[in-house]
Amino acid sequence: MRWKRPTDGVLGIFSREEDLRGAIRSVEETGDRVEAVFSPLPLGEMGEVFSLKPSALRYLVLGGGLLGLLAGLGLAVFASLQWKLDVSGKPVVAWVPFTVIGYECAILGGVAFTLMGVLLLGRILRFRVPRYYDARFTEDHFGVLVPCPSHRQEEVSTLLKTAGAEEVHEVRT
Amino acid sequence: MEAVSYREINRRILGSLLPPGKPYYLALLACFSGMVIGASCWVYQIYFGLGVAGVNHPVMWGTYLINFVFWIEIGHAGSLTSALLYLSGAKWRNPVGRSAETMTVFAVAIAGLFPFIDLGRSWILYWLWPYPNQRNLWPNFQSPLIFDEIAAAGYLIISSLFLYTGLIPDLAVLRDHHRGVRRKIYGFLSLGWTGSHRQWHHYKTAYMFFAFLITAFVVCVASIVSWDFALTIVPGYHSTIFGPYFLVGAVHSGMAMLLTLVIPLRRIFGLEKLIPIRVLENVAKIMIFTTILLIYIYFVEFFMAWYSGHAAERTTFWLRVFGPYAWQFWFTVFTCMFLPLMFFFKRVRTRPMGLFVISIVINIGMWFERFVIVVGPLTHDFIPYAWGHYWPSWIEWGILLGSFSFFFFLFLIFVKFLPSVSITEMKEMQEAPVRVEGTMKGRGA
Repeated sequence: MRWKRPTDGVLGIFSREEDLRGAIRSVEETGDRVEAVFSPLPLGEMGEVFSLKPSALRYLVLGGGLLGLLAGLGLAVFASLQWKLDVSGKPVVAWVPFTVIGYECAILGGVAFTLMGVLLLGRILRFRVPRYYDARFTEDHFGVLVPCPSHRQEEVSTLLKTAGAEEVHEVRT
Repeated sequence: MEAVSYREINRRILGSLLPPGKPYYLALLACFSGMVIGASCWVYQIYFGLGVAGVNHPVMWGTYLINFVFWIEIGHAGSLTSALLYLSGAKWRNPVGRSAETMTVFAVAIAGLFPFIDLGRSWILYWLWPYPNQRNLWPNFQSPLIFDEIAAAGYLIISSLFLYTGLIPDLAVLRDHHRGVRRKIYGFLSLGWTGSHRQWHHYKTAYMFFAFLITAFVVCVASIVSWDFALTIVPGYHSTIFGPYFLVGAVHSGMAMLLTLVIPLRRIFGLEKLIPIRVLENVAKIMIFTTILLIYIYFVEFFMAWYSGHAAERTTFWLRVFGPYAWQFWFTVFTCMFLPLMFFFKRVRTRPMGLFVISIVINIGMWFERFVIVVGPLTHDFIPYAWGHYWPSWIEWGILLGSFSFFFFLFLIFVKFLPSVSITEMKEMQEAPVRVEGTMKGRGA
């Protein structure tokens, strides 16, 4: 049975990465799913565990870069046409120097969209942490959140403890 | 690197945020005094006009431009250390990455002050920006000065965002470590970071893109700063080698500044275990490489001046070596090209005190290098009757002192409120702990 929304659940707290991996395997073997893994550092293998696709951020960066390029070139062309500085028959709309402006603005656009993308896709911009969050997740502990209905919380708690969880907390919303 | 547990990393780095001792306040006071001197000089210049500075025909670009180039190039090295080494997977950069990023932001912010100061009438800087106005006047986007303005402003934005993005997980550490008002402030700044796998997934991708974009921007900014000079026809300026020349010079001086900052930092806060001597040694090795490149570039510059057969070019370079600014040139050669070669000796590059002293001397030498580049050619242009001489006035020296004081003041404030070493990246350097038959094995254990 798959639990769609993380209403209730169990949070297991681990001090060892190896135990954490074992717990994730055990949870998956029983047919439950892991809603989130908390860690003080990025764990590379989580991408495989959760079958995460490469971040969609790359499309946003590309889009931001193109938008910046067009904005930079557009501004340079617009400004040069507003006040036509005709010097020795040289072109008023000079693409070669404008490339520099376009390049700078393309990178600025890419950076702006990178920041927006990570905040939106990572769901970071919330300014508060969930009630079940444990401060040790930023020190040296790891957390596994398994969503399950209240009548199964005991069963999942036992499973996580067997896998090496130091502490297990029931999460209620 | 020596084994350090995750908890120990937190403890050691957060220890640097504890209330400081008397030496810290004395250093802060010294920097503040320097800032007051610099600010007073600037106010004096605004009141009496740009005439109080030493700049005058034919040398209209004096120390303010030298300082601009010097500081923005310090920033370049910070970005390259952090971003380029991150992209290349050099994990030894982790302990100094944060200091390098911080150095970049502060150096670029200070560099950005100098166009204001150089204008004399600083309050009309906004004329440089494109904005709709009644006269329908717009900046000339074909000018390298406008390229430079956008580059410097953009660089400040990008480097600040790069620093902040790297700080987010560490701000969450601070939030979880503190109570009361500090917790609220750090909590707000950490934006609600929990360290969930989803957040890490997008965060690592974003950090990689930031590193890539900032590297591309640094190369662009370094070249653009050089074009302020190279796109003129002044002999000694008008050279295609200026782009790489400025980039190499930037890395050279920036690495020296990084050593100047990091060596006292690790000593004062007891971070020797987290910033081992091997990291400082690697910085010194990079400086050997940049020194050799710099020697080659100097050789090419002189060779091309001779090979061109151009009388003005030849005169400019002859005067560089034997003219009125010869001692500055030879001082530069000694401090920036001969002294760093001492790093070939392992004994020199593995002694923090030696590295620290040499790094300061290199910084002074690199400032004089910019002096030789910026001032020398202007004093002896094409027309002999327009030749002149320049030496900074006490106002300019005062503002220079103020800029250095401001830089170190900002850094001192930073290290007391935010982690000067990345907690997350230090943990990434450790081997993951595993449980083997009831015992703990691994570096993080």
